[in-house]
Amino acid sequence: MTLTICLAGNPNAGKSTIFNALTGARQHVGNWPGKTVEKKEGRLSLSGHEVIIVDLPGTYSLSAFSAEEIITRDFILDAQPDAVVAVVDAANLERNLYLVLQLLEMHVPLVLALNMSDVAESRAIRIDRQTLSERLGGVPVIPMVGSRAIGLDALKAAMMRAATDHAAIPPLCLDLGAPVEQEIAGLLPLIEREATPYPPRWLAIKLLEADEDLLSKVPPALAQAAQQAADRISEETGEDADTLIADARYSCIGELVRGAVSRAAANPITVSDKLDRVLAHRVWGVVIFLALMWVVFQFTANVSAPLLDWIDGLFSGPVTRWTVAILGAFGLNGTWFESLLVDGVIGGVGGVLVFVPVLFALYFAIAVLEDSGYMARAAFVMDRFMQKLGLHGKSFLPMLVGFGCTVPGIYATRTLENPDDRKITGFLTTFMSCGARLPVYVVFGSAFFGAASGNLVFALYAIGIGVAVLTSLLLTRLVFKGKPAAPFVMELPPYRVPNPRTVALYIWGHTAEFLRRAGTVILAASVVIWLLLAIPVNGGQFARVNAGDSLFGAISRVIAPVFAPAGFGQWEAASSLMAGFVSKETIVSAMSQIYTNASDDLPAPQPLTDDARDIAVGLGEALVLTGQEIVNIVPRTVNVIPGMHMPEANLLNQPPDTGGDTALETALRAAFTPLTALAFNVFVLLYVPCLAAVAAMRQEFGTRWMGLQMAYTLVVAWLGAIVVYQAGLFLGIG
Amino acid sequence: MLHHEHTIPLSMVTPGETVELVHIHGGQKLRKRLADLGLNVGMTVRVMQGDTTGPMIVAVKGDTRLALGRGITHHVVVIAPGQSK
Ligand SMILES: Nc1nc2c(ncn2[C@@H]2O[C@H](COP(=O)(O)OP(=O)(O)O)[C@@H](O)[C@H]2O)c(=O)[nH]1
Repeated sequence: MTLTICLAGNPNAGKSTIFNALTGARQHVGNWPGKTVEKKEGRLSLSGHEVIIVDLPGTYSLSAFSAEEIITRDFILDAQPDAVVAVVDAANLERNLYLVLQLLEMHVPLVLALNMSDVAESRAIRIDRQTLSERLGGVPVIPMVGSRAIGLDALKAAMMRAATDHAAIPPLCLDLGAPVEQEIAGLLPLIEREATPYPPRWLAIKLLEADEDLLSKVPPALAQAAQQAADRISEETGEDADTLIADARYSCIGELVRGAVSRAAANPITVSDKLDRVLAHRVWGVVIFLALMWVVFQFTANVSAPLLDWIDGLFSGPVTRWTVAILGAFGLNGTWFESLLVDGVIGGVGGVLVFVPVLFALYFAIAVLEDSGYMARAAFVMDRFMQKLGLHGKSFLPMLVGFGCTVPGIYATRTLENPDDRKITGFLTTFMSCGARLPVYVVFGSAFFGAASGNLVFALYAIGIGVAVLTSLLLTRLVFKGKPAAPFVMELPPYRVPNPRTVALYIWGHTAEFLRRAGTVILAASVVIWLLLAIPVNGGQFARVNAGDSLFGAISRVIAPVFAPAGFGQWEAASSLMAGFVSKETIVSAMSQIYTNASDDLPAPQPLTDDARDIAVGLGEALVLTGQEIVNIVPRTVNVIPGMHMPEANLLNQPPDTGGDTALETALRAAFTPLTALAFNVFVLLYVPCLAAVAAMRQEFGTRWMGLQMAYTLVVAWLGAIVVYQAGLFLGIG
Repeated sequence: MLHHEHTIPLSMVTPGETVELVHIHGGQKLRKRLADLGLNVGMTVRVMQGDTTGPMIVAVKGDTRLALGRGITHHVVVIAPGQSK
């Protein structure tokens, strides 16, 4: 029989750690249906049962304050799990018991995992778990150290007992005080008559607490009766019903722990407090934060680059060659099937896999920042500034990561709690000019502006940031107007050394999810684009036409006039931009094909053994270069300080990348003026980042929001390009 | 309930002082959120860090540390330190 057991608990109580310890790599990261909240599910076999473990989102309570709380409570009510494991932080028992009491009110078979026992012990907090268990009505209490898998076997045993032996959990009935109890008694008959799917007493309490979610779900008559009851309570006592109920819960907790928990002096100054004096300092905190963000940026942008190049080379070189060779053996060379496989499928798979090193680097950085407890401080110190833009302190990281690559930037919005903040931040992240847009600026820069090409690049980055700031003001003033900003309250967990297992599973789970979700979309789209390029419109053979004579070219010709007011209304420009929709990396190569008619020839075939050697050597080199990039973060950081110069490591003695695509540059000078080049680049900066980013947006924010964002970026890019061109004409540049 | 002690907003308390929380102005949503995190009427909080213009770090219920935005610390009313009930 399959059992469902879920883990509930406060954020930072060690839920993920215990989840990982229970399920190992047999886990699956996804989203709760219709929500931007992460859902983790894993499996394990225990004494002949197949057990599904669901990691519920971290919550402090089961009121309807956040999506996390509603998800947790609906899951427990609807899915009726066989047992609930409440993971509590032994060093913060009182606050954690607040959630436990609410779980007990829901009548579920409960097990208490008393995690962080080591921390409690080191702070001389002693917990008599026998007494605690008795006072909780017999709920098993299992002391644990999740990060060292201590207590895991006892937890498994207790969990299975609770799930299989349905001994009724004696409902812990806490006394909420005469005024509240009287009104509950008055509501109960009404509730029973309405036959709601909820436990009656629990529902009565929630309605008195004015729980918006439930008030809207019960019949109006009941909701009204509850509101009147709540009004009577506040009239009689001078306090609001919800305050009285919270107060009763906390006094109950006081009773529960009296004599069961002993602690040394109250409120000792901890190591974390001392660290916070610097890391959360008004000035130093910001300086340290910016320095750390710089390191994260280096990590995602540069450290992943060598492996990315290796994967790219692997697919465009050996994999393509072998496929061609194998097809040749079947006499399929030069057929449309070969073209589909090579240009559509292999190109698509390669296009997905190149993101893996970037995402590894990003998820490593996020996991370390989160698991060490630093992320909460980052939000704390940046909140002051980001609030002025209508954003949240945590919005900074996704936007910064976006300068490296938009895709991980979109995923990094998950570190924000509030769905609206996530959406706004995701929206802005696309205007941070990603690394793949840079080659386009560079080609145009050296073709038109020579030595001043750096200014073009700088101006484009600045325009991107400016557009993001304006967009943020627009969104927060117009779209999300009237929704009061979520109050800034946040727990600051103590600092810890990150747990390697947690970090590794975080990276693995999220990268696998990207491959599964976004990967399929990208692959499908690259096959569609291939098809558009393969269909001839002016006669000719399927899959053997020039871009200009394909359906793709025909569509470009239809679109092209739209760009006439921006000065680049030729079909070649429209084609390049359409190719850039798949990925910005392809713009330059598409342009050299379209403008100079060069086809990228496959390297000459070579024996399999040579290929194998090249791949291995290439991987070795890529790994060395990855190490080198990590080391070079130091000199690059030092060199930012004016007047400092520290040489960077160059282990493989590679000449610096000179670039220089002269044939293309000549062709571009014929097709563009400096002004239209600038307008074109502004468009490249602002429009839909790429297919992978669109897939990521859909995964994170849903199809509707993704569509909205695509439309917005297209309009802004189009207007931006027109403004630049027309202003230039007006000023007589051009 | 009437309080005869002098009350001040939490934002005025200097770091290092421990105070008793007597009232939370503002919507029921805010009160409930704070109660969930361990800040309810009748509890004591200790201000760990903060200045009069930015967010604050307070200690509640043993070892929990909470960061509270300026908007919130103005709404939380406490008994002025140096007085007892
Ligand atoms: N000292 C100690 N650290 C733990 C224990 N369990 C988890 N941790 C660490 O506590 C931090 C938060 O744990 P996590 O599982 O991410 O918490 P969650 O937010 O509840 O999922 C991580 O750094 C863990 O490595 C424990 O029993 N003792």
